[in-house]
Amino acid sequence: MIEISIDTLIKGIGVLSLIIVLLCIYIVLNGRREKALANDVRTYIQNKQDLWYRYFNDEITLPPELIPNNNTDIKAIEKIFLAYTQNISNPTIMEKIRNFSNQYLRQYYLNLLMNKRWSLRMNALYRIISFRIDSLADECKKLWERAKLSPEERFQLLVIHSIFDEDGFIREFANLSIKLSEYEYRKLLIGFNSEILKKLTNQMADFPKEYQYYFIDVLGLRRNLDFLPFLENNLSHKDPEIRIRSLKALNEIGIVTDLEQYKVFLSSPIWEERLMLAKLLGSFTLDQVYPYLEQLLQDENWWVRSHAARSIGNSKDGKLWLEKFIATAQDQYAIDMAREVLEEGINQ
Amino acid sequence: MISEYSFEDTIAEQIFNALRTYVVRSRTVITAIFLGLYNENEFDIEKTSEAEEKITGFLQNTTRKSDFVFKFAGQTKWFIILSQSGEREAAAFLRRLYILVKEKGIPALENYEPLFSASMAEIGNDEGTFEEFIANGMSVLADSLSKGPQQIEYIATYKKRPLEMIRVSILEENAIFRHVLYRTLNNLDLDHFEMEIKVFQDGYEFLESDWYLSSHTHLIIANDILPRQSGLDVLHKMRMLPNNKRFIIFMMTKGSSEGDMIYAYESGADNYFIKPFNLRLLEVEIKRTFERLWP
Repeated sequence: MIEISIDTLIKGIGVLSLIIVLLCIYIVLNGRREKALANDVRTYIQNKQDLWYRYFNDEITLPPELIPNNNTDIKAIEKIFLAYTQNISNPTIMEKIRNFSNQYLRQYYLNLLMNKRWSLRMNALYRIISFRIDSLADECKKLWERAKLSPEERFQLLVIHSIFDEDGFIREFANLSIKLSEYEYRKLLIGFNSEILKKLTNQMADFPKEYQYYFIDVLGLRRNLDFLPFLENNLSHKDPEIRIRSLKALNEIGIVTDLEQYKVFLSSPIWEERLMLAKLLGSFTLDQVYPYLEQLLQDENWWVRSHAARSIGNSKDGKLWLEKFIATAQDQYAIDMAREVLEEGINQ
Repeated sequence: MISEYSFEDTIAEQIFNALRTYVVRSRTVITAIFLGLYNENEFDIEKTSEAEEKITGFLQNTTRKSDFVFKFAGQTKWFIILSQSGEREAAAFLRRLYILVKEKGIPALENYEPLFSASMAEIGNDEGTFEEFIANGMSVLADSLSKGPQQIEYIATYKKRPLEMIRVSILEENAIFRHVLYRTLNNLDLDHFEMEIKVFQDGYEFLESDWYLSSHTHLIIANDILPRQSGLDVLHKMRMLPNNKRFIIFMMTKGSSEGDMIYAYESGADNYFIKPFNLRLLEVEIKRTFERLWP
């Protein structure tokens, strides 16, 4: 049994109590400090937001009182800039934010970049992107070389690289040195303008396989007709997944130029290709494609039948065609599907 | 005041005043035309009243069913009210009339080719008396006739539309952007409209206020997602109100899907802005929307 003298015990309790008291004092003081800081930020915004508005709208040149004197000013300016960049799209305002940040906020974000705390470094990276602080591009490059970096930081650094060194980024894109998740990869691509994406189509063959798939998906999301020839070209690709995703992207764009090159998928052994074809044929008039849709309506796969019926049903006079089909067809599964789509339409 | 002008049909004043009152209510202008004969002295005196009758009939057949033609008593002059027409449409009507008369004449009125001149006034308000209006129109018609045949003189005095008060509500959570929207709308220079703007941080604050209960035309600019009650809640509630046509509802969203936009339009949204958007775009959309209120 451990023996502790009462004297030691009292001393121990005393020390612990002291620590607790000091901790409480620290929490209270820290709370007050943060509250005071939030108040100061609020006051700054209330007093200066009008001046910022006038500066951004070319009513005045940059007044000296908008130049930050301390970190509180910077925190308030950060809030104002974020409100503008997240809600307003205006190249003139963006340029003013970029210039101001490069000149007056650079040092503040550089200090944060070098901070030991991960959250502060991440904040700095986000702001460098939001405010386009290109004067920190070199520092970001140096940071990339660091061995100890979280995946989140690496991803943000990649985004920064893509923004500030577009050509260099495109050159290196096929051989990305980090592994990105599907979400990250798509997020990165969605941030690109169509010109970059167009340049990247030339290198897609060099991308790792799964990145090629995500890349095609993003082209579809863009709904840009410029990608149509590239996607149609992929329809004869040897990888079925590339063909399916290209069909899906073409369906997203919603415009099909030449029916002939799609007919091959009518007899595809891969049901996903027949499914995408059933969807795509919805872009044509029934006069042009009804025989193909009728064939797909009698497909062995439920999904193919379902989408073929929907493509017919959503077309002009499609309900009449479905009724005619029900009256004359033999395939009970196809008849059931046509009937289901008709009833859905009536219920709507 | 006793007018020196009177009409063969005494209902002219009543009809004119009724239409003029409706101008402001319906935000649709009307145009009054004073038409006179330049070559009146070429009339065969004995057949004057018969010819005047034929001209009146011709004018009635040439105008739309919603227009009115009145003849001044004892004068070869006519007062035509074109409902739902501005002065541009009225001028086009007169030019067509001049060409038609010149090319084909007036049916059953042989041996006489009438040459008209006119004065016209677009009416955008209901101010002033009928007598003053008629006296003014006839005086300008005299000027027009003195200048020659096929003339058109414009009277701008009655064109001015009344200033209409429009309520505007901004529902946005971010206080800084809320202020930016307020400033932007406050700086907006609109013809014929004055805006009374209020800002709200969410749908609940807006719905708790009695601000939306007035009969004013009311522009609501609301973010779709808001704390407590969302912009979509406000949209639904406004569209459930009687006389909800007075609400013009613009939605704002951050990265919303097309499906959400379709849903909002189907629920009664008049416009949809995806953030970040250009404030100039919002300004022109508002201007166009208000311009459309007066067709």
